[in-house]
Amino acid sequence: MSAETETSWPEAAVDYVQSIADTKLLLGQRYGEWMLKGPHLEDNISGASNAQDEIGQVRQLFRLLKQQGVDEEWLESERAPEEYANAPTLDEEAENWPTFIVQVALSDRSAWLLLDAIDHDDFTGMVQKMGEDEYFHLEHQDGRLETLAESQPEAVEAALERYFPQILSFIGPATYDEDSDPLVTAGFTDRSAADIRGALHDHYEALFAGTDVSVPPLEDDVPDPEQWDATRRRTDDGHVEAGVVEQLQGVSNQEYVIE
Amino acid sequence: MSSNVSDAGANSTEAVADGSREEEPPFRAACPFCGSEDVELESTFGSEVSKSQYYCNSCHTIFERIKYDGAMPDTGRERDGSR
Repeated sequence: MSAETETSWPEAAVDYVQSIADTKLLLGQRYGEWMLKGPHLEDNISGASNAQDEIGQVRQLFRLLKQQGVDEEWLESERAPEEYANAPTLDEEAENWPTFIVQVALSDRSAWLLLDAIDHDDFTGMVQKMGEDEYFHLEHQDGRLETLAESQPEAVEAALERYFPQILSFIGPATYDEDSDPLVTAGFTDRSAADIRGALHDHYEALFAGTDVSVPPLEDDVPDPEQWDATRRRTDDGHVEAGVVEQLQGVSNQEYVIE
Repeated sequence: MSSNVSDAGANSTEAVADGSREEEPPFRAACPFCGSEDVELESTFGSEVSKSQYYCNSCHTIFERIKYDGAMPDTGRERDGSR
């Protein structure tokens, strides 16, 4: 499809982009939390760099959402924790380094695949630039996962078992194929949730081939399509902690605002 | 970590100790001081988000390069160049 720039999107597309943007907002937060705790200096530099990239991408996606009529105050500073539509993988800060790497690797790669699937003129060029950022995020994470698969395979596998079903929920149900995915049929994306799920699974199967790490199977009933909330892209009512939302919204800095 | 960029195979992407990966061609860096291609990738992230850091084995100098060459992450599907 080639819609005109700044035309109205299908309603489902606003939710789709909102969820990608909120996932990137939380990725920025999680990278920031870990940018001084990595095992190597390069991990810390990459954490700081990735956080800046993600927040920069959020600013561009929020700009597009505002063009579609999403309220600016609600978007940036008035939302309750349960109104954020981030991938459930990012609801909580990881408790250790291997868990953090699995958490951000799955989330960042999935957000990229969802972004890459958008076929609309409002995103032309912008997604290319975001992909150039993501190339380095994802290469670094895959390298990290390969070395952790050698040194701490049990920790990597445990994190995959915990987060893989959650990231499938973020991508969407297996029943959303080329003929039934509402975003594909509306012409907003050109790749179905079912296809993206397969691509993600194939990527990690290839990455961990020959290691002691098994990737969880691609379960067609995860998420349950009957329970799946297309707005928050999950099946439960989980959400990020209130304290993190206060940081995202800059609540403690509001006393310094000059009216 | 270090990886010899000039010796990198045509399609190799190999993990090294700290999780960084060898860059693939066309990312062939040359030393801006002596012109040598006998350089090693020291860090995929340099002093700024947009730079990676190299060491020249010829003149023993650290240098940085802007790393955005249009490389995109794999998506598991062919790109048709329409965007």
